[in-house]
Amino acid sequence: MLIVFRFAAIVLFAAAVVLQREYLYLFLPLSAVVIGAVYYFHGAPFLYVMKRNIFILSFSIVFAGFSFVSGYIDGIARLNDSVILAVKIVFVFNILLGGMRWIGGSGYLYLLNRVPGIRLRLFFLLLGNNLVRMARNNREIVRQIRSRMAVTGRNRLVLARYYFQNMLFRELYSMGHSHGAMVLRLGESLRCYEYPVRSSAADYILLFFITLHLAAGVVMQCAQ
Amino acid sequence: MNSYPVIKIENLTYTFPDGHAALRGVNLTVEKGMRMAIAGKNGAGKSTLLLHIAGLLDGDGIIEVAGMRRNRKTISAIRNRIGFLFSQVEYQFIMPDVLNDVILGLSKASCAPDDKYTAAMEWLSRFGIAHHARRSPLDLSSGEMKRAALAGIMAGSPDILLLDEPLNNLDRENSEVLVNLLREQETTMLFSTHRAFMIDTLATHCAVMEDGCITTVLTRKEFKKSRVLRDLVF
Repeated sequence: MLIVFRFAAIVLFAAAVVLQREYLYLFLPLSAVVIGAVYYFHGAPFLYVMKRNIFILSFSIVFAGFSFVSGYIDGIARLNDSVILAVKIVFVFNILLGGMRWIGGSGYLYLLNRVPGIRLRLFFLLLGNNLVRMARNNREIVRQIRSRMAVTGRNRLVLARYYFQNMLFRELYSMGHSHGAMVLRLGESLRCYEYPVRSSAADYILLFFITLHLAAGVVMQCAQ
Repeated sequence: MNSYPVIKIENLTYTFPDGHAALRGVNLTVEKGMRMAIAGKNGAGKSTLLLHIAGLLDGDGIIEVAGMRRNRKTISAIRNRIGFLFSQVEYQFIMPDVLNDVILGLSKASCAPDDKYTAAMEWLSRFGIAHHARRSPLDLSSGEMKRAALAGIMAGSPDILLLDEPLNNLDRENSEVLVNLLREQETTMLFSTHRAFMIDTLATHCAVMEDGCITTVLTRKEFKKSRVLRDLVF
C-alpha cells in the first residue's frame, strides 16, 4: 500500500508542476526544495544527479529555444514562458528520477506484479534488462571505436556508421540468447517476490511536503 | 545406480544458413549420472551440439532426451527437463534481481509459493551468493554471475545439465569454486570445455569432437593417457 501512496504522490507532484500556471515564482522554488528532499532522503549523490541532468538540460534548452522561435514567428514570443517551459521539463525529469529512487527496487517489483498478463510483464522485464545492456554496449563500442581510430576530422563522419553497425549486431546477438533463455527458463508463472516495504521517517516527511505543496497549489488556483 | 541413456543422438547433422556444416553425423550416448565433457577445437561444433540437445537448434537426425524423441510435441517437455548454462551467461537472466531469478527457476519445480523465498535463499547460500540476493545479476562479477545463473538453473531441479564452456572468463579461484559446486550436484551433465582441470576434476567421461563429429569417447581412466585430448585442452 505504501508503494501506491509513493507512486500517487509522484504522479500528482509531476502533474502539479506541469499544470501550475500562477504563482510560479513561489511554486517552482518550493518544488525544487521537495525534489532536493527526495534526493537527499534516498542518498542520491550530487554527481549522480548532475550527470543525469546534463542531457535533459540541453534538451530543455533546445526545446524552449524552438518554442521561443515559433512564438516569435507567430508574433507572440514570450521569453519568460519559454524559460519556465525549460525549467518545468527539468523539474518533471527530476521528479521521475527522484521518484524512481523513492519507489526503489521493491516498488518496481510491486508495480511489475500488478501489470496484467504474463506477456506484458515479460515485455517490461526484458525492456529493463535490454536498457541496462544497451548502456553497457554503448560504453564498450565507444571504447572499441576509440581504440581503433582517432575521433578527429573526417573520422567523425564515419563514426556513426561503425557505431550503428556494432550496436545492431550486438542487439541481434542479445536477442538470440534472450530468446533461448526464455524458451528454456520460463515456467507458467512470472510473479516476482515482493520484498517487505517499511515506512520510514523520510516517507512521512516527503508525503507531508508533497501534500502541503499540492494543497497550496489548489488554494492558489481557487483564490483566482 | 541404474544406467540408461538420458541423451541419445544418432547421425545428427546441421548446416548453418551460410552453408557452413557445423555437425556432420554426430552419434553420442550419455547415461544417467554421467558427467561428460566435450573437448574440441574452436568451431568443432561443441556449442552447436549442446544447443541441439536443448532444442534451440533444429538439425537432421535423431535426438532422444530422457526417453523422449525430440519432435514438436515433445520439445517443451524436453526443455523442462534441461538446465542450460550459456557461455555468455549475462544473457540468460530474466528477472531484475538475483533472488527473483532463482525463484523463476523454482517456478519450474513443484514448490509452494510461500516456500519459494526460503528455497531460493537456500540455493543462493549453497552457491555462496546469498548476500547478493537483492542485486541485479548484471552488476555481479563474472564468477558471481556464473554462480547466480547456476543457482537459478539448479533450483528448477533439471534432470540434465548442459554447460557451454562454464569456466569462460573465470580466474583460478572462481573456476575451482564453480567446479566444486558442480561436483556436489548429482545431475547428469554434459559440458563443453577447453580446460584440463575441469575434465580431470569433474568429468566421468570425455567426448572428443573434431570437424562436427564425435571421434572418441574416453573413460576417466583413459583421460591422462590420451594424447589427442591433451593436445586439445590446457
